[in-house]
Amino acid sequence: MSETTKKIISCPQTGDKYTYVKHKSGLDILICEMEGFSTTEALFGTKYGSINTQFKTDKDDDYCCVPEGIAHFLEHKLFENEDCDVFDLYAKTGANANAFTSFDKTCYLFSCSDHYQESLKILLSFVQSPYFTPESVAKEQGIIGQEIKMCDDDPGWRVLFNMLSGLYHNHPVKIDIAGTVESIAEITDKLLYRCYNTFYNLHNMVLAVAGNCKEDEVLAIADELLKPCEDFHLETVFPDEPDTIVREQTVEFAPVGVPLFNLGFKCTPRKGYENLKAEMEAYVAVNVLANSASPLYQEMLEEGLINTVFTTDIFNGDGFFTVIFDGESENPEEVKKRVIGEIEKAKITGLDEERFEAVRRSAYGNMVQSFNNVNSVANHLINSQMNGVSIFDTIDVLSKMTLEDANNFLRTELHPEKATLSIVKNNSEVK
Amino acid sequence: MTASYTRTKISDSIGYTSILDSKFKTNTIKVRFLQSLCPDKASAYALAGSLLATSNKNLPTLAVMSKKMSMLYGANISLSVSKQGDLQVITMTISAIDDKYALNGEPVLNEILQVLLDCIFNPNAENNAFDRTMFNVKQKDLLDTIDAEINNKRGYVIQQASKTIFKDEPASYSCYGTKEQVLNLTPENVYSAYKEMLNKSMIEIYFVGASPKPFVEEAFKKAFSSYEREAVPVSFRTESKVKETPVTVTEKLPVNQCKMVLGFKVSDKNLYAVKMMNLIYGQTPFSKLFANVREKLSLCYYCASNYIESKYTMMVDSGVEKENIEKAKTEILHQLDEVKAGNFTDEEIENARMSALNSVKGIGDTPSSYVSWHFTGISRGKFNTIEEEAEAYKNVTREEIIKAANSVKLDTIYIMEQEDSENE
Repeated sequence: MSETTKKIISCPQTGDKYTYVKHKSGLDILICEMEGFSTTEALFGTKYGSINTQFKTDKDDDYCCVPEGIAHFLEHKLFENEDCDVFDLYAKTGANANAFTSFDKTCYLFSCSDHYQESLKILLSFVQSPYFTPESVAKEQGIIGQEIKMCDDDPGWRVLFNMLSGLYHNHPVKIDIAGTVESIAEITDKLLYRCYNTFYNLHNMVLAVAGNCKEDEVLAIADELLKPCEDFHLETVFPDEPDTIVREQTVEFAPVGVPLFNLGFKCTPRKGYENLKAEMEAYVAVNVLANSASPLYQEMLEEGLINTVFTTDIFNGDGFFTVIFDGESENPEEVKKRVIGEIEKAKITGLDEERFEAVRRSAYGNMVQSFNNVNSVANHLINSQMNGVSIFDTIDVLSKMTLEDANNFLRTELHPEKATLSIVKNNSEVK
Repeated sequence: MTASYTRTKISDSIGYTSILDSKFKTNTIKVRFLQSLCPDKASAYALAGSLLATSNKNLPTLAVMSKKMSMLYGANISLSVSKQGDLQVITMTISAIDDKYALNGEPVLNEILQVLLDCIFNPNAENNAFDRTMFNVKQKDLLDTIDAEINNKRGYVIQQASKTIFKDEPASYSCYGTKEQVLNLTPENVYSAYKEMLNKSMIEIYFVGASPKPFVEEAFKKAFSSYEREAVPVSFRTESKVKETPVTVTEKLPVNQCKMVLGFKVSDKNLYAVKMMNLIYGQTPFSKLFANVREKLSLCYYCASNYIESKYTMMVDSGVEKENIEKAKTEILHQLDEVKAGNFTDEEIENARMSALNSVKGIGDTPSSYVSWHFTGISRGKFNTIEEEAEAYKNVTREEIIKAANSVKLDTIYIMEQEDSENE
C-alpha cells in the first residue's frame, strides 16, 4: 500500500485554495479550510448513480445487470445500521444530515456548526458499514414507492425525463433515478450487497470537507476510520448509443399551469477536462444566444411566447451531453422553431462579441461568488473531483476561451435533427 | 475575521441595517417593503415590485438590464414576493462581487447601488403609467406564476390549506392576489400602487458586505429625503382563532399521490418551548413523525411539522396513498398525544436542542441568512444576538415543552385526493 500524499491547489485570480489528498486507503480527499465561517460541510460519495446499471470487476466473469433505481435504494438503506438509524447518531451531534443519488453519483453529507469531528466519524463509519436484511428492504419499498409517486406529480421532473427518452435510445440516463414501483420490487438484500461491494470501494469514492475545519483533524479521522481496500478495477459499461434521437416530440398530460417544455439537443459526450471545456463552451454559446440579454429572449418575451421562467442548461455526464432550453409556453413548437432559427443564423454570422464578453465575465463573477458559501464549495469540490478536474479549472477554461471556440461548439454540436421537444400540459388544453 | 451589525433609522418608518463580515466576497443590498396583505391590493403591489426589478428609466428593457448585470460580473437583481403571517413582504435584492475582485478595477458596488436606486426611484414610466411593453410582459408573468402554483404540489396544498386554516384573515390570501385581479390591472393603476408602496409601506433596508460602506446609507437617506411619507404601521404577529370543531376540506385532482395537511393552532406564547416541541414532534429526521409515520409504518416519504411563528400555527404536511390517509392521520395525531403526555426522553430534548443550536450558529454564513435573522428580530420586536438565541433554547424545560404541546389544537384537515383518472 502506498503512503498518503498531499497537494495544495490554488486559484491565482481569487486567492482561494484547497488541499488534495490521495489517502493511503485509496480514497481521494479534498479539504478547504474557510476562515470566518461557522459551518462545516462534508460529503462522502461514490461514483455510482442511476446510470450505472451494468458493471464488472476483476472478481466477476461477466457484466452484472441490476434493477433500475438500485443505487438510490441503496442510499436509503445505508442509513440503517445494524443496531440503529444513522439519523439517531447525528441527532447527538446536532448536525443536519442527508444524502442524495444523482445520475452518476451517490453522496452522504452533513452540515453543522459544532462537533464536526464527531459527525465526520459518524459519516465515515456508517458509509463503510452496510447492513441489509429482507425485512428492511421490504419496509423501504413502501417509502420509496411514495417518493416515486411524489416525483411523478412533479411536472418539471416529468418534462425532463420525457425529453431524455426522446433523445436517448439505450443510455440509462433516460430512466428515473428512483426507478419504478415495479423495478424496485425486484431489489433484494443480496443484490444490494453486490452493488455495495462493487461501488463503495474507496478507490471509487471521494471525501470533500469545506468550511470550519482543520486539515490535520480531518486526516487524523481518515487515518483512524478508513478501511484500506483492494483496487479491483471496476468497469462500468453502457449500451451502445446511436447518434440519432428517438423521437421529435413527447407530450404528457398533467395538472399544470402554462404548458412546460424542455427542448433538448443531443451532443457528443466527453470526459475530464475536455468535458468541462465543452460544457463551458456550450454554456457561453447558449447564453449569448438565448439569455435574458439576448434579442431572441427579448423578442419571444415581448410577443408573450415565453415568460421569464425561460432558461438554458447544460446537462452532461458519463456517456451523455445535452443542451436544454427550458421554459413555459402556450406554443412550445413555435419556441423550438425560433431557437433553431437563431442557432442556424448564428452558425453563419457568428455569436455577438460584446455579449460573449458579458457572459464570460458573468460566469467568472459567479465562480467568485460561489466561494462565499460553504455548501457550494463542498459540492464543487466533490463534483469536480468525480469529473476528473479541479474546481479552479472552470476559471482557467473561461479565461482561455475565445469567441471562435463558442462558435465552433454551435456549428459542430447543435443540429436541428438532434433536437427533441418534450411538453407537459393540461389535458383540457385545446389551444 | 469580524462580524458586526448596526441598525439606524433613516426615518420613523425606514430602518437601515448594516451587517459587516470580513469573510464575504460580495456586497448585497436588500430593500424590503412591508404592508398588510390586502386582497384588493396584493396583485398591484406584487406587479409593481416586479416591474421595478426588471427595468428602469436608464435601463429601459430587461435585455439592457441583464447585459448591464452581466458586465458587472454577474451581478444579480431580483424581486421576491412572499407572505409572512398577515403581511405581504416585497423584497428587492441586488448583489455582486466586491470591487477588489473586479478584473479591471470597476467600482462594482457603486454601480449596482445606482441601478437599484434607479429601479426604486426612477422607474420605467411616463405620465404616471408604467411602460406598456414591460407592463404586458410582467402582467403575463404574474398570471403564469399564479397558474403555476399547482406545479409544485407540496406548496400548492399548503396554500390551499391556508385558505381554511386562516379563513377570513389576510394570511388566507395568496401574496400574488388572484388572476381576476391581475387581469384588471393597468399601467396606470399599478403605477399608483407603486407610489403608494413608496409612501405608505414600512421599509427595511439591509446592506451585507465585508467592510463599512457609509455611502450606501447616505444614498438612501438622500433618495428618501424628498418623500413625505405617511407609513402605515404593520403587525408582525397576529393570532388566528382555533375553530370550535376541526374542519375537513377535500379537493380532487388527477394526481398520483394524495397529500394531507393538518393545521393546528398553538395558544402557548412561550416561543422557545413551542419551537422545541415542534422539533421533537416532527421537524427533524429523528422526530416522532419521521421515526413513526415514515420509518416504522412506511406510510410516507415525507411527513413533517412546521411552526409558523407569525400566526402561532403549526402545520403537518405529508404525501400518502389514498387508502392510508386515515391510518396516517391517526398516527400523526397519536404522536402529538405522546408529546402532550410527556412521552419523550431527555435524550430527545437534548437532540432537539442540539439541532436548534446548530441552525442558530450557522446564521452568519450567508448574507441572506444574516438578513432573515435580523428581520426576525424586527418582527419579534426584540433582537437577540446569536448567543442570546442559543441561550434561550438552553433554558427550555421538559415541563414547558409539555405545556406547549398541550396548547396545540387541531383546526383544519386538508386533503388533496386522487381523482379517478381518465387518461391512464
